[in-house]
Parts: sequence; C-alpha cells; structure tokens
Amino acid sequence: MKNVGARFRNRKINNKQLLHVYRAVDIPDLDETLNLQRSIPQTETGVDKEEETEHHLQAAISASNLSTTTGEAKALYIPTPDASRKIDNYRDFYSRAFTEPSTLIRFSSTVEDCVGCPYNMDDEDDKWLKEFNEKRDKDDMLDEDHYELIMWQFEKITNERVPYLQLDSGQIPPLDDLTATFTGPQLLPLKKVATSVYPWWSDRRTKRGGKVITPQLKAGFSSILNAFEEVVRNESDPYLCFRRRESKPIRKTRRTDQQSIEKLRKLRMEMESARSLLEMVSRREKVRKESLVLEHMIFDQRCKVREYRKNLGIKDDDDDIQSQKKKIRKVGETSATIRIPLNFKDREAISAQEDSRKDRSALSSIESELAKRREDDVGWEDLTDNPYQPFLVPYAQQCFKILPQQRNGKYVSFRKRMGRGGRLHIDRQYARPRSSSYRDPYQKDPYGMYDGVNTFDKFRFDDDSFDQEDVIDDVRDAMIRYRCTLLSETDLRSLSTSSRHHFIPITHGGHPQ
Amino acid sequence: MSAASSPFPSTVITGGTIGSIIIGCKLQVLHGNPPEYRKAEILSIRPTPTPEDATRSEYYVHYSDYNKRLDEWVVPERLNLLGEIEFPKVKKPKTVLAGIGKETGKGSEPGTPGASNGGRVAKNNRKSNLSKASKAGKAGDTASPAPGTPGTPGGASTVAGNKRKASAMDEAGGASQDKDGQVPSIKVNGEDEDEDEDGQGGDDTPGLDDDGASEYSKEREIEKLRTSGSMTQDPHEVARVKNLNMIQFGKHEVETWYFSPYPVEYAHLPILYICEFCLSYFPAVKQLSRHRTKCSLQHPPGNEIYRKDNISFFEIDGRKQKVYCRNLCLLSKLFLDHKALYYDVDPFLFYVMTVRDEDGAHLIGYFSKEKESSEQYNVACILTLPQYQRMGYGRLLIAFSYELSKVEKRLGSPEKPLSDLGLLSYRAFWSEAIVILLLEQHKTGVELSIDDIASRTAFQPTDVLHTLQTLNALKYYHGQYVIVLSETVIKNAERALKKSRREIDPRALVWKPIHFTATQLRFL
Repeated sequence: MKNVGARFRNRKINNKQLLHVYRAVDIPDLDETLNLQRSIPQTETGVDKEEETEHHLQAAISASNLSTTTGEAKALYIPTPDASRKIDNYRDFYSRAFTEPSTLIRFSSTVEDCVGCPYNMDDEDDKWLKEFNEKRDKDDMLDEDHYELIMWQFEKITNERVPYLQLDSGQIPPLDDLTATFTGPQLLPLKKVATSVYPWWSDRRTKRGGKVITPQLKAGFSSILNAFEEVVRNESDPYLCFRRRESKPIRKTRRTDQQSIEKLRKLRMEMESARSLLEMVSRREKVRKESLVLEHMIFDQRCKVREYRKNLGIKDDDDDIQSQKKKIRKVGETSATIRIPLNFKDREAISAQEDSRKDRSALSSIESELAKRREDDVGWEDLTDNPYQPFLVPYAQQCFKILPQQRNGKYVSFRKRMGRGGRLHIDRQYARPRSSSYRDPYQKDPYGMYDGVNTFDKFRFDDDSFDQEDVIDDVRDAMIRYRCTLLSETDLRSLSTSSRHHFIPITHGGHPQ
Repeated sequence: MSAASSPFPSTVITGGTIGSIIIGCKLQVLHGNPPEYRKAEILSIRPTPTPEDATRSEYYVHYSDYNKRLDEWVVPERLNLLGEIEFPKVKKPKTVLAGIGKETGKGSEPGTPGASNGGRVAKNNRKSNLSKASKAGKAGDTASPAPGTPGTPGGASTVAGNKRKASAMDEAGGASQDKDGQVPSIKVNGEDEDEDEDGQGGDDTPGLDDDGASEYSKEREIEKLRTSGSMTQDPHEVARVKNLNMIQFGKHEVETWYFSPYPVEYAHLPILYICEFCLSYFPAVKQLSRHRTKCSLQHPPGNEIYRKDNISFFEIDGRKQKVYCRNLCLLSKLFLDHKALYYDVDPFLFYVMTVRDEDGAHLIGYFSKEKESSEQYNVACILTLPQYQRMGYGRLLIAFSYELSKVEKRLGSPEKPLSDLGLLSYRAFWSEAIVILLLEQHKTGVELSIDDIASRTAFQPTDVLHTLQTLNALKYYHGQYVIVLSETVIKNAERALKKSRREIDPRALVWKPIHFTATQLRFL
C-alpha cells in the first residue's frame, strides 16, 4: 500500500465528483503523510504575480493559514495609509436634511441636472468679485450666483463657437458676440453687468492659454478638442482616460439582422407579385378587347360572306357555315353576358334561359337517355371521378357477409371459416354502412352549362367576390344537415349490394370465437 | 521592479553622494515605525530648495516588496548613502525590446545620443541632474514643480522589465517614444511640452524647461529632448508616482494610495475636495462650498434596488450617468492600483452601496460589473472607501455581488488581477460561506461535488477549489478524495456566525437582471 501511494500520480479533482464531508474528529485514521504525497496542485491566487510576494500580503496569508491549522486567531491587516481624520466643519458644506422616501428611490436625473450652474467660482474669482463690488452701490452688487451665471455663459458660448481656442487664443470672441446671447428672463438682466465681467473673464481665459477655466478631464472624444488632442498626443498619456471604445464590428449572422432581412425580402416579394398580378390583369384585358374586336370583325366578314353567297346563289358549304354560325353566336352571346354569377339561383335562371333556347326534341331525347342510365345505375354509385378510393379491404375482412337486418341500429356481419381439425368458426362483427360524401360540384348542372370550359375559365377570376364566396365552412350546421339528407334510407339499403367494398369494420371485435 | 527581473545587470556602487542619486537608483531608505532600512527604488525627484541648500530635493521611493500604496516622498536624510547603491543600467530605449523596430526602418536610429554606451550616459545623466537642480536653485524658484514630470532627468531608464497589466499600452508608449526620438523638432513636440508645463506648475510655476529654452544650443536641445518633456518620460513613470496626496470626502480626509487621472492641473495639490454625493472634485474649499450651495443630490443618481436598515444599494448605468460614473472611477482609481480607466464607463453597471443618515445616503463602496461579461465575471472593480474599511462593508459588497449572480442564475467571479486586500476579503468571504454550507451538509451526511457547492453559492468552481485548498480541507481518505473540516476551521466559522454583523438579506433585493440588446452593447 505504501508503495502504491508513493507511485500514485496526482490526479485532478473532478468538479462533478461527489465528495463526502467529514469533520476531522469523524476520521481519526486520516493519513496525513499520504495526503502530503497527494497534494493537489495549488490554484492561482489571482493576484498580480509581482505583488504576490509583497511582505504584508504574505504575512496576512500565512496568518490566516495559521488560523486554519492551529486556531491561532491573530487578525493581521495589511497596513494602509491614514483615512481616520475627520473635518469639523462638515455642516458648512452639507446642511440640507435628507428625508428618506418610504419606497425605494427611483432616480434618473443626471449629475448635470442636479448641480445647477456648472461654473464654480474659485478664490481668484472671489477676490475679483469682492473688489468689483466694493466699487459699486450697495443695491447694485453682483452676487455670486449671478457672477457664476455670467462666467458660465461666456464659457459655454465660447466653447461652442471656438472649440479650438486653445490653439489660437487670439480668437476669443468679442464682448458683443457674447452679450448678444444674454437672452431669457435669467440672463437678460445681467447683460449690462456682464460687460464689466468680460475683461476679467477674457483675461483668465487667455492666462489658461485659451483652455476652459475649470480644468477638464482628458476624456477621449468627449469633445472635438479632445479628439484632436488624442491624435496629436501619444496614446498612452496616463492622464488621458475614458476613451471611446471602437464600436464592435457587426457580425453578419446576427439573428436580429437576419430577421429584418427576411422581412424585407418577403415584403419585396409580395410587392413584386402584386405588380406582376396587375400587369397580367392589364394584359388579359387587352387581349380580351382584342378578341372582341376580332370576333366582331369575323362576324362582319361572315355576314358579308353570307351576303355574297346569297347574291351569288352558292349553297354547297351551307352546313359548315351553319355550324360556324352557331358556334359564333354562342361564343358571342356568352361574351356579351360577360358575367357568370356563381351563386346557385342565378345559375338556375341561366340554365332555364338556356333550356328554352335548346331544341325541345333534343332535350327530351337526352332526358330519356339520362333516365335510362339512371335506371341502370340504381344501386351503383359512380366513383370514377371520386378522388377518394377506399383502402383495400384485406381478404379475410372481405369474407364477412352482412345480414340485412339491423340490430341495435347496426348491421351485423358474419363470416364462416374452417379452423384446425375441421372445426367450424363463425365470426361476427358489427359494421356500419359507409357512403361517399363526395359530390360532384357540377352535379346540379345537368345540362352541361359548364361544358363551355373556355367560357368558364375565361371569366373565372373576374369576380372580386369570388374569393370570399369560395370559403365554405364544411362543418356549418346547415351543411351537416344537408349532408344528412343526401342519403335516404333506401339509398343506404341499396348500398348493401356492394357492401363488400363499402363496409368497413367499426371494431376489431372480429376475433375468432 | 527587482534587479532579478531586469535583463541588464545593474551597476552597484558602495557609497555615493546625494547628487549622484538619479531616478531608478535602488538603495536603503529608512521606513516604518520603528524605522528601519528597507531597499527602495527612486521613482521621482523634486527640488525643494532651501536658503541653506539650493540643490535640496525630495525623493519619491517605492519600497521593494511592499505595496505601492506605501510609496512616499522622503527627505534626503532618510536615504542611506553609505550603503550599496544600485544604479540603473542605461540601455537602449526600450523600443527595441518592445519590438517596435518593425514599425519603421528608422527604428535603428533612436534620437538618444550615446545610447550604446551605458556608462557615459549614466554619467551625463548625473551631471545634467546636478546642473539642472542648481539652475533651479539659482533661478530662485521657490515653488515646487511637479515631481516625476519633465523637469527630472533619467526618465528613459528603468522601464524595461516593468511588466504592467496592459501590454498594449506598453507598446503604444514605446512607439510614441520612438517617433518622438526620431523627429525631435516637429511642432507637435513643442506643444507637448507646453501641455506638460501647464500641468506641472498650474498657474504660478514658470517651469524648468523655460530655463533650458533660454540657453539654446544644439547640445542642450538634444539633451533636453532626451531627458525632459513627455517624449522620454515614460507614461508609466508618471503613473507610478501618485499625483494626489489627500482628498476631502464628506467629513473624511483620506490619504490617497495611487495615481488617478484627475485633470493634470490638479496634480500634487495638498487636498482635492470631492462632493460626497455627486463626486465632483474641486481644487479649493471655495469652489466646494459654492458647489454645495447648488448641488441637490443626496444619494447616488440611480435606482435603489436594495434597502435594509440603513444600507442601500443603487444601480447606475454607466451609459446614462456618465459624469457620475466617471467621477466614481476617478475616485476609486485613487485606491485601486490595477483599475484601468483607459476606456469609458459605458459597458458597465455600477452598484453603489450607501449608508443613510440625516444628511443623505453616503457612499461607502461600490462595485462595477460588465453588462456582458465574456469571462463570467460578476465584478469588475470593487472598493470600500478607506474610511469605511475593516468594518465589514467589503463583505457586504461581495455578498451582494453574489446575490445578484444568484438572481441571474449564473456563477460569478471577480475580475483578475485581485489586489492584496481584494484577495484577503474574497478568501475570507468564500471560506466562511463554504464552511457554513459544508457544516449543514455534514449534518445531512449527503455527499456533494464541487459543482454542487458552486451552484449553491454562485461561486465559480475554481474559486471553490481554491478556497477548499486554503482551508486545507481536501484530503485523500480510503481511496478517494473527501472534504475534511478541521476543528479550528469549524471553531472559526462558529465564532464568525456568533458575531452580530450586517448581512445581505436577499428578500430586500428588488431587482431584475437588465438585458441589453446586441445593438445596445455594440455601441458601447
């Protein structure tokens, strides 16, 4: 065991490894020597390497180590410069009483908002002002607040107008320029006295080499001046602080950018499609106009041809002409009506109109033909156009035979099959007749009014209300009721002939019994 | 920078004169109470002439192996001139090291004369230092010009091997140095100097460079270009010397710890006055009192998302409250060495902890948090103001940061590097939370994995492992790893539990994580 310990390699402790917590008294058999061999590599303290060796820090660290090992509680502080002195005239400066609000303070005014006039007069100003006031009448004294206002106005305007004053202090704005800015209820009364302050201010500013009287931080780009300075002076000036960070480059794959690009792209696409739609509409209308003109021309020509024929007595190609004529008339008429209303009543009306125009005899023959076909089709449903094809019923399922009687409103079907050893099984299962709800949308149009697909297509999208009318709520009560009536009891009965394909099992109750 | 880390061996001389001390020298300096000699590096020198000694200067020293917050100005008497003095080996400008040569073929002719001959340059340096210092004295310049700024020679040395966090900045610095070296006479440089001069003396100091300019000669010009101005003054050298001494914040006067880029005009003021509610800064009491008559803020300008007893947390969006957040960063930079103010505050949310009394909600500390952290950090910078340190507020801040992570259903860790104080605070918090959890788990007798601990505390697994190691709790027992809590660990935890302390109450947190869209984050 000892040998193993000596050879043991230091392993890092895994952060996820579960560690048992002991008090030292719990495990008196802890082998400290083994632990020495297994000492875990020290993590870094995080203090600057150069400072890590400082005497006071090392002393404090070893003192705290001592307190963890031997319990010697000797607080050791790193000595710091003195901070214990207090001033005795605190009240001279801080006299306003503070009343604490009962709720948490919400505050968003900035320091600039809270300090009033930013110009604070110094001892020089104080001296000058006192001398200045001595020469004036008692009731005409310039007080400190007003003095500061004037000085600040001078400073502010100068900084705005001549930001590079420190490069050429000869450009100090003349008095008139500055006093012209003394407007407003606060400054206007000071205009006159400002004239007397101006030489003093100008003198101070010149002494400062044109710089602002109150020294400013060398903050990066806080003003144009500083930006200029920054270029000229070296970058590592320790007094230059608070530089602006270069704005980080945009990452191309930012999610927000991606989103807005996507939105813009979509918008563009929609606008494009709207434009092309309108273009196509206008093209369609042009084509239609053209076709009307052409049809009119053809008609005229045909009329002429007929005229000529009449005059010349030609009769051989009559049929051709006749049929042509019929066709033309039909097309012409439909174009003349222009609109094919899509709701049902009008359709009926039109078909009635159409009816009357049809040849009575032709109609009756068609009718009889249809009647005959219907008779043939009794008990059959036409599924040729039905998009729904029932699933192929497995063979075993097809063997069920339906009893015509209902039990509890359900049909019962049976199947006979032979089991092992020649046993006979009869499987029973309930079944529900299934009918197709599919209806041919043009079913109510028995006379093939829409056979003129061209006509229909031609005006298909003309009606603006088309879109709205097209919306059909399949589960509307009326619709459901209507669908219920589609199949009568007899219809259901008649379906039973082809029950093998139209009944599907409701339950899987058809297990062998 | 220790001698070992320097790629060039240093020249060691035993014994020297005060005049021979230049920036980069390492020698024994008296420090501490009781005072003892410690090895320290000279980072800057400022002349403080007296009628008796016109060349008298003060020296800004960094004690090797002590935190930078103990760096200080010392009088020459505290330097041990009899002991060993390590002079920096002057090397070719570090541009070569930084690999800037590739930028331009001209890189091989840096503007430093005699760069190849380290010894001579070092001598020159000393000479120039002396002459400059004496000149300053003759000129009767009683005001103290800014230390660590152009007036002091030798800035070109001591840079290589100074591995700071931002290597990009290193390179940028090198590049500009190189450029300036090549084209010493373009107008830009002149402006540079004006700029610095301004910063140096404020309104009353003519500055040393003026002297140099009046005695124009080609040699002097080159020497000046090499040793003064911002061209050879490595920016890190400037930043290594803290520029403020003290701030007045609310009723407290607090000594600063590190450099912070407050306007250069305010550098080396005795006290900078900061309004404790809007964090605006003023060089004079008069301005503060004028400001206070107008400032209406009495709490941080954001939404209060937590209130329990008199402790509140405010959530502030760096994008919306730019001025406040910038001011907060400037303030905290005074106490955080590794805080980077290179970029603006927009990508961060600031969680500001306040304690309330009749005057308002006073800032105690804060932490900032990236709106979208690519490395699962739940804290970027975290600070308890020094006047509130060692009162348990740091623990509250840390606990609150993890409460936010729990609401977000994420694991979090503070951004690295940690400061020394940060490491100790986090370690204490982690181990306490984990020990309490393990004690409960021990009662149930159910095993758990490091991931389980992580998900229940919202600590990152590496931090859990780190803590278990510092607790010495991971043991190998009967063929597998187990967690063993020693009796002392348990006792410490129980003692901590008994103490009546402020705790974060998750029920008092009214907060929903803010989700920023990709576009919002893009323009940060």
